[in-house]
Amino acid sequence: MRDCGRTRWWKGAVTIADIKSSIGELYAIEQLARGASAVHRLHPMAKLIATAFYIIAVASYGRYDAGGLMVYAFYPAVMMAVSETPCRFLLRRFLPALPFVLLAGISNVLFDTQTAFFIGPVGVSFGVLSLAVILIKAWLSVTVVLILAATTPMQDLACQLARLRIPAVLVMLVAMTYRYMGILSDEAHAMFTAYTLRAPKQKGIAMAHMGSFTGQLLLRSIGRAERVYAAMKCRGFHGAQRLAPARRAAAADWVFCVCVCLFSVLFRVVNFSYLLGRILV
Amino acid sequence: MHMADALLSPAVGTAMWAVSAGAVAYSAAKIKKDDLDDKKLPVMGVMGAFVFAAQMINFTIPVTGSSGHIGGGILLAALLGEFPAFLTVTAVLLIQALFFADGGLLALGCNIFNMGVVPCLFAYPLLFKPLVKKGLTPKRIAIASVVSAVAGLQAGAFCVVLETLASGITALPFGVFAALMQPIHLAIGACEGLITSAVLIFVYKMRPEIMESLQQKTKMACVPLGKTLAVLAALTIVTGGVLSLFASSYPDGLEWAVGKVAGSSEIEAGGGVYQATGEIQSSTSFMPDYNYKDAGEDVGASGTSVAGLAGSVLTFALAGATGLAISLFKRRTGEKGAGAGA
Amino acid sequence: MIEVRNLSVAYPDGTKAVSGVSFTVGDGESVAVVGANGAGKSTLLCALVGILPASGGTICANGMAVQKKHLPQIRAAVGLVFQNPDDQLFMPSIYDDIAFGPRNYGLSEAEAEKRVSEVLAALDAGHLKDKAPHKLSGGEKRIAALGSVLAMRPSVMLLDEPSSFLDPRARRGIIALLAGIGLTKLVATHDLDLALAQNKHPVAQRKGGLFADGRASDILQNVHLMAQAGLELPLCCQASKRA
Repeated sequence: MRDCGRTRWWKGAVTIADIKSSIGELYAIEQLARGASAVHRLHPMAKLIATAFYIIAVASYGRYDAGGLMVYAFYPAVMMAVSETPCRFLLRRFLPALPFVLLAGISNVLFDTQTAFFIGPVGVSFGVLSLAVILIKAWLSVTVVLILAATTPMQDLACQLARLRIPAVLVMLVAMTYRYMGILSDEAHAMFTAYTLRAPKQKGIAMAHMGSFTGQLLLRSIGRAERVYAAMKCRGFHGAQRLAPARRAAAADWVFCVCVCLFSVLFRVVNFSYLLGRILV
Repeated sequence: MHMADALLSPAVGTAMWAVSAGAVAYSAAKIKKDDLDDKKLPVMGVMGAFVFAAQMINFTIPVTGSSGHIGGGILLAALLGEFPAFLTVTAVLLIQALFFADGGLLALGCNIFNMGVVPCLFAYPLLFKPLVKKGLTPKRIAIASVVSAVAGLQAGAFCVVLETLASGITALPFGVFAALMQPIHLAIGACEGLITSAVLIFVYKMRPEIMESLQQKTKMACVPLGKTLAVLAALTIVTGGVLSLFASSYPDGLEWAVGKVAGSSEIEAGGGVYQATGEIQSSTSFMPDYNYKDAGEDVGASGTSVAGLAGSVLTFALAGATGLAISLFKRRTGEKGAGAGA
Repeated sequence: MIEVRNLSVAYPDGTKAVSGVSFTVGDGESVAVVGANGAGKSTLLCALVGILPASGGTICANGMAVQKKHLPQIRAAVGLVFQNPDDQLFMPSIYDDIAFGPRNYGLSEAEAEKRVSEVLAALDAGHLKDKAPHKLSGGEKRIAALGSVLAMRPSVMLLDEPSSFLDPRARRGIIALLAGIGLTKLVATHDLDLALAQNKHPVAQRKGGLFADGRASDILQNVHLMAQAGLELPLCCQASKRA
């Protein structure tokens, strides 16, 4: 069992342990969402609007404005601390998003070589500056979404989606996909285990078996869907349904939301880092 | 192929949101009208979950020994029909964006378009369906799957290139970017197509009625091309509308974006000299006229000065310190509380 | 009250899963359908609520023939609890799952909420209310699935293998819980202890056909009959026979 530990994805091998751990990852965020901090207690809609506003503000920064962006780190830092979301979790979830972002960012370093400024004798090019901006933006926008999800249970978020006039079919679809992804992954895992135990020399599933393996999983899924449909029919199902209404937002929730939005705009106009620097230097 | 928030400007992000929202609304109305929403809903929901499960199983690509996994747009469309498949992909992407930070909120519109609209609403009805029109056979299923998966992924990857360039975040010239993205996605598309065809042929052999009923239904009810074109027209109008809205409020952004896509491809042909940085500064910001705006000509005086640099580092440290202070405070009061409880 | 006359059910591919079955379940009676795997027990239950169409014979539930036009009323009155609770619990929370049926029958959210509280109180499972189904244990899932059917206030309950996948203790709990529900019940099972524990009137089924109908003690202790059905005597009876 040489491959028993976590193999890296670029090695191209998936182990049983890998799948098991990714099933654990599926609902890892839900464990966090059950907390009871002040951030958890905020109304989901207030958090959702604040997050969206924040992300748009961050995205609106120009290519080279690393300094201006810095002040936006306050929001995730505070939210993370108050909600007690572990930093390691956020980092772990951030990593998979990195390669594509890096591709674009590093290419800037290669193509945008004009010097922007000097730190002592070392010249910093516009490309490096823009790479920094991209990385900061990526980190900020990923973190705030993860904090939103890590402080809000799935059913509350689904409920808000319905309030945002997203079609009921889609909301129900999201809820059901979320519900069954763990069950089907468990099934896939069991099949995969049975496969690998009988093909110990092979990494992953041979391409030749992929059709019947995935097809088998698919047929099982369809079978399950048929049973779920029967269970729904038995309880009078006719078309997608609303979910339990969330509690109403309190004044405090809106104060939070408006504050985040206002600060997002304010710091978009005022370069906080620059002002701070001027006061000190 | 997930587009990321960090590579998008708000204008492109929201415009793509509008387009995808339109496609979602149209599809939801469509399956409601065809009375599919109650019968298909559980199948769609479970199929969405299936995509998650299937993505966990990587496969070994022969010869290279590297691995990949399937995206599933064409597979779902062949099993569910284009509109239910599109909504299913949308649900999967929404969950990925919200709970797995795959993509991001702003980029969700782009991702739904690139990985949902393109394969399900274009590649499937325009390529897959005509290719199996004469009746299902394993050979036709295989050809249709590979062709539409490759085409879908190529078009999707190209959309990623366009969206990134239009956002003006990267300095990659159009030609180089496309030359990087397209071949990679050719390989991915071929694999996806092969697996899709293997799975579909398996399903067709085991339970032919699943695919046959769909093909018959669409045959009876279809002018697929006309309808697709209608959707396309509607999407174009919506995109155009939203983009022009942005264009009127932020003229710099759009002109720049359009100019860049067109301009840089010319430049690429001309020898690869990149545009002057000064032009780029205004990019797509909300309030473009502050600090780095003139960085190209006047570096020292703008925000890159010592003050700016020191301030940035300090701000970052301050944010971290605030978070740390709150954590420490919470931990201490928490311990005290626990102590009192014991 | 359920009356089944000469019922046959065939699958689309032509396989006959049930053929020529007749029996009656009176009001307040509790009947077990026992039989080995593949005997057609689940198919029978599905036919009773019209999920699978009968290919021959008649079914009458609560005085209504099981036909398409009566299905909404029949499904409100006859609740089917599926074998695998994961098939039955598909909403994001237990609350939504239990409220699913009442909402479909047009109850307002306040009324639906009342139903949920009632049901959870009756099952002594109030703590499950806001939980997500995938976070529950097997026994808890089973209880929630039961609740999702009870919330529709059926007069007849059909249960498909209610004690499967459970550890002995959870199984005991479910058996006791079912005994406390005073509705007309039809329980499909091969768990003979469950059948013996609470049903006065089991029917045995083999390869789609019903071949024994009688008092629990008569059927379940008849070695010959049970062997024909592909079953064994309940452990308690085996012990007493040996002694």
